[in-house]
Amino acid sequence: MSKQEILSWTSLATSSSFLFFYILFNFGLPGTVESFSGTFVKTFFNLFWIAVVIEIIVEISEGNKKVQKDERDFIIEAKGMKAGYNILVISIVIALVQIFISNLSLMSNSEFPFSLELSTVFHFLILSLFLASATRRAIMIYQYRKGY
Amino acid sequence: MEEGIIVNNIRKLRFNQNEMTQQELADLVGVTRQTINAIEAAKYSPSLELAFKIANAFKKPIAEVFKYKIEP
Repeated sequence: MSKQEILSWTSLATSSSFLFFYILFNFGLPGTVESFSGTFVKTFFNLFWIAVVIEIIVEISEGNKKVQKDERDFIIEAKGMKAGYNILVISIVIALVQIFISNLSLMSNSEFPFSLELSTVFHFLILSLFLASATRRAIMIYQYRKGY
Repeated sequence: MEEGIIVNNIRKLRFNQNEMTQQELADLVGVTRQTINAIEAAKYSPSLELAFKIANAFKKPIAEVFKYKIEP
């Protein structure tokens, strides 16, 4: 496994952990899985620290290698970036439409369908950011595993 | 349009060059061992620059290292 592939796995782990803790602290867990809350917290907390430790170890052990990244890594990174960028752009467009609908709703003093509060739109954008980052890494891992 | 694949003789050439390892070739051309492995397995087509570097590492013309094979 190359250094870039290991870093993709660790970044996916940290992005997933951030996504989980953001959801947990802002919305809490749904009732059906609330009884497993402690297990989830422990798992994601450990996942985050294991990923950080692996990144440090990889950086120390592979840091002296002549080639850290080559043209194949750049192409794979570009494919991941494209997927992440698409998710982010779609999210921003949805958020902008939501803000526009909310403003219209405020101006006309009537309730529009699909109009959301600004704080909800903000949470949506933050979640999209984590999701885009996780998708980017997932696509990169897929390409590395495929052997591209 | 006919589809084709880029095939190569890298594995054979490596063994003819005192059993050169993938890592040694990777260091010579400035890429990772995984990239050489992907090229050898025809899973990744290298850039023209990298293809020339690999051919130069074996002191062979590029046409002797890489071939474009059209699938029947």
